[in-house]
Amino acid sequence: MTCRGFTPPARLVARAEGLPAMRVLEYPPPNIGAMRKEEIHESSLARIDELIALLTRPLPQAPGAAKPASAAGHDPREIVFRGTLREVNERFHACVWSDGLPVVPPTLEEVDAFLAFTERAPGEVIARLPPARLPATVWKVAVNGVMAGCRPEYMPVLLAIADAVADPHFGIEHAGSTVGLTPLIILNGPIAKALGFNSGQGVLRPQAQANISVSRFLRLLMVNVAGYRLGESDMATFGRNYYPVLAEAEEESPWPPLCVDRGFPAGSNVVTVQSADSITHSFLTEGPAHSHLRVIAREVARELGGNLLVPMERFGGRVAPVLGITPLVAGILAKAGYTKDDVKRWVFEHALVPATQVDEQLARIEEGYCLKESVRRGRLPGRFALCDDPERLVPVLHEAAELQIVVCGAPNRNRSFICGQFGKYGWDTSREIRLPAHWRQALERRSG
Amino acid sequence: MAEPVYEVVSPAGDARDAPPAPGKPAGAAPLSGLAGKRLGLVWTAFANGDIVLRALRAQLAARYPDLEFVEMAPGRGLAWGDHPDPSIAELAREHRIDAAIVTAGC
Repeated sequence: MTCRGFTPPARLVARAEGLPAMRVLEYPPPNIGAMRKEEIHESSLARIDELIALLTRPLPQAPGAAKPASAAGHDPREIVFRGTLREVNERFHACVWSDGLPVVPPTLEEVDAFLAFTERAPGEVIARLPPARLPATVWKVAVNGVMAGCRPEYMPVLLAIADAVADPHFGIEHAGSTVGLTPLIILNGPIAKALGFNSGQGVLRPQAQANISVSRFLRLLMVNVAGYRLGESDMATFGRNYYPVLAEAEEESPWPPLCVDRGFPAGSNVVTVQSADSITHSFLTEGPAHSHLRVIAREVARELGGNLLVPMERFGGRVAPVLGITPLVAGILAKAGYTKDDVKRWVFEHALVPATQVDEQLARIEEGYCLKESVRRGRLPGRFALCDDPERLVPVLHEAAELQIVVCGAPNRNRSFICGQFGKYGWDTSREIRLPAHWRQALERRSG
Repeated sequence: MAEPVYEVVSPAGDARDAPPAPGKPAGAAPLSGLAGKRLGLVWTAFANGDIVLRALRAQLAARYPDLEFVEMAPGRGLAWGDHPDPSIAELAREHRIDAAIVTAGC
């Protein structure tokens, strides 16, 4: 049963999962979530005969059911188009093989240059990426990397990103939901500096080639291999553009980097990909350490204490929002004796909202649903329902460890930002970047 | 001077790059009728899916008094209204349902 507009993605997913035809009962606009109870009952009554027919009649023949794919005669190196730069771009736009911006033509020479930076075979299948469930191969990663404007030496980073989003834990199939989530890529390790990633001033601005082109690569991979198309499989209500890669300013940070928090040895090259809601206003903090913390906690409560409470309670029982703070703010906190864990704990204990604010969000899920009921069902810990006072203060996270701190941005500014995360819709997933044995020489050849 | 011409490869995923996934599902055969059957009602999150399913249940119950309904969680260890999980297939077998109505994209 779908709301109109969602029938094409439902059929697309069914086909990709091997079901060429399926029974769909479609509800008319606007959408069930926006209808009143009486309207839903009225609309359901009008559909009951259709529902009975769907359950009791044979499935209609699928239109043009695809023949099983055969690899015979298939060559990924096949030239599919010849033309000038403008013609190539027009063709790629027409095929929806682009994000609307001009692409670098993926010629064999360019793709081979990328493949020189990995020991993995071009034909290696990383995974079938939903919703289209087409195979992401090392070759296709290189092709989309070329198109995005990446440099060949970014290839190990591109492969690690593809590995991360291919992990079912990440849940790339949720990226086309109405929320319009965008992946945020966080980069740690010495490779960031070696490849020219910006971790400082304007880290989230599109200027540094590495940050913006690597992010664009992921969008192109989602379009060309996962099969995301607006209105067909990408149902984002508004959506947003890709964020440049968030590289951590590890040398300026007083604390161990994010990858160490996530269990990797210090000095590892690691990408972490996760869903991102909007990145907040970069808010100002000042004064002694506790004053910075007070404002950070207030802003965390403001950002995570609204709509994002729904994924916190409902989407898999864990979220991973990012707190981005500058080296200056991190330094002030560290100098006052706060470790990263101390900061997380302080923010968790002070980023509080009235229970009634959470109840209002939960009631959207189910009539009468509230924090007390959530605790009774074992979805949230007892901390969320210690008494009946609707104005009691409750956290916006399950636990302090959920907050991920990334030190980045202009080193001498006293600003921070928060980036919400949507739980199982793009859970935080890390991969170590595997460098080829000849990495250093290959890099020197490129720069020399 | 003539513009350069580029010969390009396809960036699109190609099903031929990997062997077909094993164990393809098949569409269920139609029910001979609804009388005496067990019908799963699966709410997979999002607002008002529960109201729709209960509205349909009321309508169907009025027409088929011996039709049984099971408000089925969309996966093992999940609650009605949660996001679906592949274990939904096992649950469907355990509940011995003949068919199910699943809300999606509501």
